[in-house]
Amino acid sequence: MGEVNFNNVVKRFDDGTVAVSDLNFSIEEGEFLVLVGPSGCGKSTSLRMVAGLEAITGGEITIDGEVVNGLTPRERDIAMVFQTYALYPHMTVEQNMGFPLRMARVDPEEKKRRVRSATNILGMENLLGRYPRELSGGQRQRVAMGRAIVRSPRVFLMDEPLSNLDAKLRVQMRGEIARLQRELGTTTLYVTHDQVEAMTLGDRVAVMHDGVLQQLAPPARLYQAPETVFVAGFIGSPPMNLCRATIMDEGGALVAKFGSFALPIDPGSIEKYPNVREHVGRDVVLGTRPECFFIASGDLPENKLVKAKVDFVEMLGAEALIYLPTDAEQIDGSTRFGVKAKTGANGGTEPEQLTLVARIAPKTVPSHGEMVNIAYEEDSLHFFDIDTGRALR
Amino acid sequence: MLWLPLAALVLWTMGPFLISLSVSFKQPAMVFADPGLIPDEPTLDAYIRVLERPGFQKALWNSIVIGFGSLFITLLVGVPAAYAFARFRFRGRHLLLLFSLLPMLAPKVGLMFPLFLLSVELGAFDSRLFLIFVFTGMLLPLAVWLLVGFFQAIPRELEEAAAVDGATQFATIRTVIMPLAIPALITVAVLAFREAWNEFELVLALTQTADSRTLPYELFLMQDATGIADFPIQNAFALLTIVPLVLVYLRIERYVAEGLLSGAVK
Repeated sequence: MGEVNFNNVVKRFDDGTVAVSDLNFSIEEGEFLVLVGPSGCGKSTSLRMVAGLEAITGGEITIDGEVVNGLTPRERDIAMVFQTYALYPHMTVEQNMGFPLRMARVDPEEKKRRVRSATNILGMENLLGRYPRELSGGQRQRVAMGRAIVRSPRVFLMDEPLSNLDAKLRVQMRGEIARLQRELGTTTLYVTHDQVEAMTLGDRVAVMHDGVLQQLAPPARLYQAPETVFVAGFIGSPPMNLCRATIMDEGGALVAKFGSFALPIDPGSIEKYPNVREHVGRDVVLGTRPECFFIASGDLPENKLVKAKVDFVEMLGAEALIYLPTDAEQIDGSTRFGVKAKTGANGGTEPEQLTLVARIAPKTVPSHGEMVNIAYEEDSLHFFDIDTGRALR
Repeated sequence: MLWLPLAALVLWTMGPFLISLSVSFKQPAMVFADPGLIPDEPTLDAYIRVLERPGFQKALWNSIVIGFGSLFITLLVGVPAAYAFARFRFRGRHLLLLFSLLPMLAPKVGLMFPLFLLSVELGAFDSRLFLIFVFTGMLLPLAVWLLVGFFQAIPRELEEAAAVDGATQFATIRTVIMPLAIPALITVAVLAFREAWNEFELVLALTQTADSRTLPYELFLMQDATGIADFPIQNAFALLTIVPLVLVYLRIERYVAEGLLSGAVK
């Protein structure tokens, strides 16, 4: 029970804005799928279309094979947790959680039993008589969860349920949501703009940008093998360094030249991005992860080093971030390949120069203005097409 | 020192009220002989005479019927109208909302004659039902405007949550919107009731007999009924007219303030 399918789903608002274009994916039964992306990318709209709170302009959404386009929310047998929790202010916790059952005309004894069992799962037996205004943020969040689980719906929909909590509580509730979903095994579609939530909660994560699905993959794959420049720049913190580079063949060995710098391309990287070979002599987008840099020790050959001057240093305790200005052209994954870029909204601006970020162990931190030699794990380079933004695979 | 202007304001508004209260407890002959605020020989004589007048009892009943009648129909029409204005996007919504304010702009005196003619044409002259409909027409703009603001302040997510939780549109309004709107409904009810209760000119124009006269009209008639001015009985009558309103208002003042505010802020 609870398989959701998006078939060529389109959402166009009355003013002509396309919020979601041609969305195709399926959420398997019992799966925890996270929709992630920056604000305005269409993720909440997609969720609301499943809920029936937003009309579907084109294509169809099915739940368990049944097309739900024309169904009202109450006919869809789904439950939703809202960002603002949307608890009914004039009802007690017990009445709030019992509301879906009351609407379904469940027998009062049965209703009581199911509300009690939900409160036991969430550990808030002593709060049943309270009103929402008398609860803390975390407790309200639990009540909202409780209201969703009492009915045992086919699908849970969660719209940024943690974003109104403080950082500490958010981590705690994140764990609880993961545990709850595992225990109940209910298909869940979860929307967030927070990549950490996406990576920790999702069985699979769907990254959206400008209404277009960029990549749908398990979290680890998203990080290791991004399909587009946007995903590369979005997943990971600090984000991947992205710049324009030229692939050169130097005596049989491939080299990526960016600005006045160069890194050799290891066969390991070419294996992951075989199309790089066809781009010799051409420009590509080069991606480097900050955590793959390290301060070079003396025995590395000259051509494997990047020599740069440290602009500034951020000491984070367990690690340090060093910022190295370069003369390579920076590529912004969120504006260059999106719909907005194509309509020329970003045209005419001077290309920015890349400031390379490297994440290094805190033992050997250089100071401001110092020249450093840093090296890179050569098999972890990422390559994307400069025109389409897609990975060179 | 900040309380000084406030104290002056209270004195200014309370002054006439206190004089009226003082006079109502005096004998007619003592009104000018005993000019003090606290009567030397207080008496309930004026109140007893008011209560015994058949005109007062009849008018009180008429006021109650017309007051509650107008307020009931105002809410019956105003609540769904305001909800529709607040929640549904339809063509001409803004224009209609503006039009609904027009009756408030028209001077009442200008309406007196047309309404009189209309009542005669309909055979509804001197009828309580006609007054109820006229008052409802006058009250609806205020009711709709107050309620639209209030309904808009109720987060849309609550209705969406109810829809997902399996409530029909009607069930959502009944179980979620209405309970939350109680402060606003009380506000509108009190304001509407007060308008109907205090209305004078239209009652003067549209009624003739004791069967449909309300308290303000009766008070007006009393001025020359006695030949010479009987100030204590007039003041007692006036005070008895406003007492029910004051009592109701004091009990629910908290809700009214809440209602007016929550409609205004958002």
